Amino acid sequence: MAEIDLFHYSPVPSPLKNLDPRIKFSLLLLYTVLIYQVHTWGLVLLTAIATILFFSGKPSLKHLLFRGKGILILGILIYFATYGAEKNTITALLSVLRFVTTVLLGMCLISTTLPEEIEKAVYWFLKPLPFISASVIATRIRLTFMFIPDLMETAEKIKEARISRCIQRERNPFKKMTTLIIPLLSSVIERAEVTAFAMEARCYTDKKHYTLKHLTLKDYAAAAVGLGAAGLSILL
Amino acid sequence: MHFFNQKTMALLEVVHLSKSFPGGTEALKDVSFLVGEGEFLVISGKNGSGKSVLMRHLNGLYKPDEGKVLYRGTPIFKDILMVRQKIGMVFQNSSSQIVSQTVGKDVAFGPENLHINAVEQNKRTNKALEDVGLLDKIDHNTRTLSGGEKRRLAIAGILAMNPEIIILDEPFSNLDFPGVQQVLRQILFLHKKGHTIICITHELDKVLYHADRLILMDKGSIVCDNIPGKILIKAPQYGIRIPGNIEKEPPLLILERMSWLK
Repeated sequence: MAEIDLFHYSPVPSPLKNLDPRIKFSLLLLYTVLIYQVHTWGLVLLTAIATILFFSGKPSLKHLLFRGKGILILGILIYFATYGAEKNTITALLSVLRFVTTVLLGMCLISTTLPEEIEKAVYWFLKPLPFISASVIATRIRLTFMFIPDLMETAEKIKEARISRCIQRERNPFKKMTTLIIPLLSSVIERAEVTAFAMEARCYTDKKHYTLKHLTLKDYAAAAVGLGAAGLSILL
Repeated sequence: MHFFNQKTMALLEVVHLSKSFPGGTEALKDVSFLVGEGEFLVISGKNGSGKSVLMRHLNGLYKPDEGKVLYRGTPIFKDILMVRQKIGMVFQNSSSQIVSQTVGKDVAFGPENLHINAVEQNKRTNKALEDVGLLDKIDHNTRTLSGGEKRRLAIAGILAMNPEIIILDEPFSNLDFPGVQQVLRQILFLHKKGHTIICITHELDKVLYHADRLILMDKGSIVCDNIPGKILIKAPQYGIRIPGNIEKEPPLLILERMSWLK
């Protein structure tokens, strides 16, 4: 049995859980833009909000440590890349903070929103746009949210299989990379094919009918608080 | 045991079906057979014999190069959405056919596509989950299910669409003993309820005892089609393992052993 990873919807209660996905999605987009626009204290405020929201979902410490490793490595890479370009420690640290805040916000959305709800929200946003098949894009986004964690799991299994066959001894980095990427891609393609067939077999068509709930007072209040915090982060 | 009387109208007719893939691989060669209402049919053959390709034709996922599939006398492509409701398909890899994060939402995926109202969707979801014994897990994350439960969830997803025929592709693959028993019990329950079952498997020892009829496939063609006791003797020559020595033991005695519920 698989455990619930950080990049999956979590059944643990969280203040974000009952909010309308459209509100969550809009605020996530707004905050993601702001993270890269606001000044230092604004960024600190957004990071604090993201951290509180993330921990309110009581994430598993085990998975936090496991996934944290990857995020830490990326953070270090970002630090050195920025430091190399800017030659300024504060700017490099802020870049890392921006990255971490973006990841935390993304995990807040994923862990508190079912992929079906994300699909509906995306559809709602795209529906007014002409020449775009909103339902097709929404379904693709839903499936992406569904399968990214599974792909990470598959990648882990392939890595273990490579290690068991002494990949460490291989000195050619290109060969090292291809022995991971090729089986992963092949697994992705195979999986996508079966999923597409299974969906078609269950009468999936792009003429899907979505029913969205009406926004409640709670949703409006959350949107107001979220917008207020966003405004404050700009002013700081 | 029920054996389809070919004089009565067939529920499903496969007529001279042929399919080739780019590169010239002939996956199906002039395959014809009938399936009667309430029948429990097992289709077997070694890897690459064309079983899974045949299965995908029965639900209209593949279009044949030649021949046709008829559901109640009508070509399936005339109203493919109706046919897909009536002919449910459970794929070999259950994980890949789960498209939702929670058990309940996944079962509701089919009814949602049929634009059925929310009340009816909930009713069908609950009933399907009750039938497969997963109602208590309706809000669980699909990733936390065991292999056997995932396969039962896949069956529930099909049941929510009220099918007449249920096609299962290698339903026992990658399952442990309790998992096989769970799935087998489920299949027998559905058959008892009146569903027509087409079970595609090379693991005859797990299920054949319960089947009304066995079709053996080899190199894209049907090589035998009869009641299991009559053609069991031919299974080993087409690469299918049976639990016994066909030269020393009577086929019916071997057939007696071919159920993991016994």
